[in-house]
Amino acid sequence: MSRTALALGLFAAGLARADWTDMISLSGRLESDIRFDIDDYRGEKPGDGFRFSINRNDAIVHAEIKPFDNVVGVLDARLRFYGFNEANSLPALADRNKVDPFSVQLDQAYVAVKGVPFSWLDIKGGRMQLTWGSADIFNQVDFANSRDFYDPMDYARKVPNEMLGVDLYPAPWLTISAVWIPVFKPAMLPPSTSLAFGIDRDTNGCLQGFPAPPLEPSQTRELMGLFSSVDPCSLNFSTPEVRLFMPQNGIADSQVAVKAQFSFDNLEFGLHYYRGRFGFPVAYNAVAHANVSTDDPTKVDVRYIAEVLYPRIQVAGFDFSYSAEWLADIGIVGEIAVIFPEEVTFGLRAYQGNTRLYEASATNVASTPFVKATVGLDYTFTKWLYVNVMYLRGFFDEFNDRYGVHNYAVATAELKFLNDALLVRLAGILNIDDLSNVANPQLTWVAAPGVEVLAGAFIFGGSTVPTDPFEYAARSKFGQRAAGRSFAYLKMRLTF
Amino acid sequence: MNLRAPGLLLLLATLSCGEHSDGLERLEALYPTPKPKTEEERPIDDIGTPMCNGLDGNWAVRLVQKGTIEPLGQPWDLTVTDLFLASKSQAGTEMQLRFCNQDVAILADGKRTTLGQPETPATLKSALYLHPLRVPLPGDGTFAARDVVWLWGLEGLANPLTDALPTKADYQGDARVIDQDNDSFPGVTVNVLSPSGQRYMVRRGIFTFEPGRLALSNQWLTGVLVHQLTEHALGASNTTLETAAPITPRAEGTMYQLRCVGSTYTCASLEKDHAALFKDAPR
Repeated sequence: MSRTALALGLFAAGLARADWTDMISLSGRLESDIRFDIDDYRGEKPGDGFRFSINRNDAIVHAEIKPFDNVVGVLDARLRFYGFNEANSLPALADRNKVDPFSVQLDQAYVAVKGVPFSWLDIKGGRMQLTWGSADIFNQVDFANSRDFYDPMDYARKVPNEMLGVDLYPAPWLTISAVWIPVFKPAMLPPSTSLAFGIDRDTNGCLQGFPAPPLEPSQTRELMGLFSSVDPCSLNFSTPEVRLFMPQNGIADSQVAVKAQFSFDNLEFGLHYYRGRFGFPVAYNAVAHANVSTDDPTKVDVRYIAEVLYPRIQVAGFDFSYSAEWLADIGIVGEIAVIFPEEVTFGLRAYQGNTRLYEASATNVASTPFVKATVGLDYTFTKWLYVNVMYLRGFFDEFNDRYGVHNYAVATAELKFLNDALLVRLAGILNIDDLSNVANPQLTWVAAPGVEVLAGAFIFGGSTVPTDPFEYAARSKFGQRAAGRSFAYLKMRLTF
Repeated sequence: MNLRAPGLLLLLATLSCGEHSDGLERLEALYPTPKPKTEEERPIDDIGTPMCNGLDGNWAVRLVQKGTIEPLGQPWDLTVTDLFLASKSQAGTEMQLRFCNQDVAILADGKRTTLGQPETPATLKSALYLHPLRVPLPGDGTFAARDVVWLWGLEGLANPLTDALPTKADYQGDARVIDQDNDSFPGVTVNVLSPSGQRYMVRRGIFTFEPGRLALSNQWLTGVLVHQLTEHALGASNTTLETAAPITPRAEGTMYQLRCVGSTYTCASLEKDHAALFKDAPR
């Protein structure tokens, strides 16, 4: 019997073994999400606000298929309708995809085989989202997938990636996991990110300033001095172009993550290693081209082109979680990552026509190792009150570049009323260094089993203006406009 | 455990990426710095409106004279480039070349050196300009001449081609030696860059202009030049400059080139632009 015939025979035997409906488990969510911007000073221009920013409907399906006891296929798919018309011409009104745009997103699609070829080995491959670490969301040792920050309210999301992995079970208390990720995918960023490079103009459109590049303040003064002698109303700064300098997808650009997870009674801890790239971009270079306007010789057109890159890193990490009766069942979690980065030198040039007016460079990322860490406690005081507090050294997107790694306090309190039908959740993050903050009060009403109605707000606090216009690190973390808009939201969700 | 701990530290110490992304290098790749332009690539002054018909018209002239000298026993390559503005005499019997400048390049072991390199002072340029180099024309519309003598600091030679030139030892009282640049020193004065100083000297150039080729466009006239240069120092501000190294002519690369220019074209432009002006000359 040929191998193909054998395989077909086994497949047919599998089909005959049981009804397919027994092999598939389905779960998912239907979710409607409406958001309204409640500030008018954090947008691209002052006064740019008070409008609906999201009007979204998601249908999310999680399917697990188990054709055999030791085989599982996992599928996470999302059908997302955006709720805003994108048609801007009469012919486009004939296009349903423009009038009612949507996307299909495949968050996971992978196959896992357990106990093959050895009983102590599982293998899996496909499109996956891994989460490693003990802390709640703020995992510092978790690098396999880049973050999906498109939606600031859903910062637990990841950018799915194709990978191959193995899990080894050499002892009951030890699991060793390893994944190989051939192709690097960067983090998704919120649309407001481009404001980090935004040009400040007054109501007449005249230049007021531009963000400091990652240079020494004295160099930034020299650079800005080039423009100080020119009438700011004569400068036509176009919207800066920020390009990605991506890896070449060679074998050396692939990523590897390894974890050894130890489990004991009340204690779990893991040792981590990662080699790859940091998922958030770091400023690499910039060039400004100033040319006399062809339309108006009294004006100067200024075009600013920047490149960002994803620095190569190696990471050694450790995480743990512990809870015990003698500690009144308080849960303690901690993660620490020592990151060994490649050195990144930022370069900048300014040209007038073909003449180079200015050139400067400065170290943006030193090759010195640095630490990111999380430590947190959570405790259920009563059946209606739960509190979680954390200290963070380094937010998701922070790297040891000229902006630096900052310190944060994160706190969440959940209060349940009316037999858990009503949940009040108060969450906030405070940047301890610059005191900027984000607050997320939310009210959840369980209208029926599996049906939630949520109302809340996501509010940014802190100065939108840097404390020093010549200092790259002088922007407040959550105050700067690149962090996003403050908004109120209303959601309705069915979980099944 | 005691054995494992140092091993772990060693592993961590070797984790350093050791790689570097340099933003300036990337900018240089994206926006390469233009290489400095050679003399030939530099933009040139306006040459006016060239209007040449046969040999009639105004010409910028370059006499490129290759040779070697041996001031220290080893042969050094020498290129003497004389620059002129030229036009036919009113009678049409000769081409009158009015001197603009002389450019001398000396290569020692392939590298340019200023040792012994002369420069022409403005007073000498003016003096030579006033006494043009006269190249007799065959009269048939072509350009060719043999044994044209060009003298610096000398006059009244009985046999200009063959008379021995006066030397430092015998020039006193020699009526043939004149102070052509009127600077109170005998002969003419040239500046020497290294060792720095002035040399007072007489000079004779003997040129044979082989028949020239007039381009169809009538913008170029070029041909082979045969040259013989003799210089005798009569004195110097620095005694080390009192010996002028004999010049051995080399035929290869020795040539004359004429480019038609407008009547407004000047010596100043020619001095500055000659490398670029003649870069497209027919070979």
